[in-house]
Amino acid sequence: MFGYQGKILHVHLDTGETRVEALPEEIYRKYIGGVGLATYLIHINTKPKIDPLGPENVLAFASGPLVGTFASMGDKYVVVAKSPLTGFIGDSISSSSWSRELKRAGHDGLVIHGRAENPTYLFIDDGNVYFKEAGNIWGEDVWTAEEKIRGELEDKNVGVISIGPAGEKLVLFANIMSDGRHAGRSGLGAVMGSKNLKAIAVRGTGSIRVANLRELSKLCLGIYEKAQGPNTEKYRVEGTPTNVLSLNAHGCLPTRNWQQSTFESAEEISGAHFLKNHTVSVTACSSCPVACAHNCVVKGGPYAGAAVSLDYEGLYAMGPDCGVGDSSAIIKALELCDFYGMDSISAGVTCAWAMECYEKGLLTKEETDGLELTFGNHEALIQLIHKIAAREGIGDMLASGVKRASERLGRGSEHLAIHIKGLELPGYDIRSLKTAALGWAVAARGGCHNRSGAYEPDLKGKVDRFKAEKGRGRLVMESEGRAAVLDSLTMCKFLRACLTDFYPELAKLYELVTGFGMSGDDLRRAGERIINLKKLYNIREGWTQKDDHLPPRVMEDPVPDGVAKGSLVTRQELDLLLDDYYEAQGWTRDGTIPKEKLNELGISVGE
Amino acid sequence: MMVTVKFFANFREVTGQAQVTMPNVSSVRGLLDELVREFGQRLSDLLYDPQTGELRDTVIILVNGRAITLMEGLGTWLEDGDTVAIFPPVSGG
Repeated sequence: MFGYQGKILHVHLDTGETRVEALPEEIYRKYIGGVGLATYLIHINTKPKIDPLGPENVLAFASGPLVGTFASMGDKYVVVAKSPLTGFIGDSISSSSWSRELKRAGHDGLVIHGRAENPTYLFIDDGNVYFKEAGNIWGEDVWTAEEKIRGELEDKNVGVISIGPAGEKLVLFANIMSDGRHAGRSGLGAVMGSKNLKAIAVRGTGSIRVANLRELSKLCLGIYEKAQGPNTEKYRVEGTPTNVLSLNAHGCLPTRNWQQSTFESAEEISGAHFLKNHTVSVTACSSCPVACAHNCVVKGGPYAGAAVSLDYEGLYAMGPDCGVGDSSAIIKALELCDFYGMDSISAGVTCAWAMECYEKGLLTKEETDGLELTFGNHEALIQLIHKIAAREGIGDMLASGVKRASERLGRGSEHLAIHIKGLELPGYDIRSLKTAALGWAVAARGGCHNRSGAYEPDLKGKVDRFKAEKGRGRLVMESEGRAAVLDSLTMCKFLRACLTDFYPELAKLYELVTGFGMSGDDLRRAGERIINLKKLYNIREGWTQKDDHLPPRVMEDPVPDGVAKGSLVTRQELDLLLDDYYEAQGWTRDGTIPKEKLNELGISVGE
Repeated sequence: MMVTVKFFANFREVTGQAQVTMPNVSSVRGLLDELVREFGQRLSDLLYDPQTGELRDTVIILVNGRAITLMEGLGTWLEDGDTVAIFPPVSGG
């Protein structure tokens, strides 16, 4: 095969058994790779209604067909499992040379079954799989774990993904990390921790063939050139923190647990501020032509030496959402999330909820272990992050995410919990972004800005962002399809603006890599199939229409400030938007998938 | 008649200003003409596609928080006290 290796590696941690499964060509054509392939793998390798942290849950990793080839433009892997945070599909993507190593070792995907008796790490060395004792790295942060594993294997280039102490302690929003990047959302680090699996190291020395190198080179060079142009300039210059001031001007910057939509200290935490005061280098992920990672360091003061690769979402969660306008403190808080291996969005939003609970008297000082949890108190925020990672005191309740924490606390705190399906929300106030509100409500993995770009029509002024109306369902559906295709080819979404004609151009790229005939329309159909496959998994796990919801605050508390003042999403508006979306998808009025739709898309799993 | 203009990201970099006030401009087109006159070719390059002369896709302009694409585009009328914000599209994270 070209682009693919045609094989999936299965590893059983409980028995030590390994086996290689050859997948039929049809599966690759249907599900492309990445998120499509990994979703297919969890469908057929798990039973419904299992405990996400039990040994029956599997972790499915997959690379995309472009990984390791000239067309990669960012080597990424996808990991999918039942999420312990949401109880639905958990899928997360990270850039890493690990995905290229796995493919060069001969595998398009890896499925981890069972639970190891003792802390273990795996070493996949081309065709061999070694189960290694991980007692000496259990408890270590990911940086140390990666270094020790590379030292033990005497190979500084071996690809390593690992979990930190948060994953070991089953913090439900623990992530998986490698090369300083994160498979951040959905708590899949806790699934890895539940399996006693600290890390997976891979060394691959095989080759990856492409069908038409000459034509592929021409096409890719055109995209590479555009990747240096104005469409990606914002990522290269200030990076995604540039969003802080833009969203503030739109009145969409969630502040103090979404009590406000503008932040008075936005200038002090803007992209320009970080660039001037903290950025020491800008680097690229493996094989990426853009380079957006702004590596920031604190140069003085109490947090001197703290360092992080800064992205907007973590910045929002630890900054405005916690009322913190001190850029050094934000870097420190994010560094700790990396150190422990936790999703900074979920961590920040959960801390912001605790702060509001404290300020409103729903949490007493005794219950916060003596912490003065007021908004803006970054010393307390930092103590709280330590406690969450260790599941100590109040940290134990917060380590289960804002949905469970609010259910446990009660006292009306559920109204303040900013999540959808249990996944804490990213940094766009969707009360005045009505298309995005729909996109977030229906996203299979919960409150998420990456499984559709549904904020784009709102923020580009293609639609009236303050208005809910028919037609938004199709916009969200189309946006989800495009995201599913990128996540399955595993191409960075920052490159989407460099494509002239999205589906035909990507189909051509796919065809030149794999040699499989693929039209633009075929690829669009594959995206639709993958969205349906994810939804089918959720239905199997008990999804009902009430799970396509918005946080109470978004529907009941109007935006109090800024240009979006007065905005919210009413029940009537959400119902209109959901009806429109389900209709666009060809689903039933209650949002389930009719059998004819599954047949039309050629989906046969789960029967 | 006075309009406040706020620049963000690369627009702030090119103009060297976070905010300016402009007198006697009645439309967004007129305002951009004045701004180009004041800040020069680099701002013009950032705003307009040199081949078509049209506003680039990578430019977002809001008048009092509302996108001009949903009003009269460059022909959107401005009134005394309006705030115009100019920035690149928001995306990613």
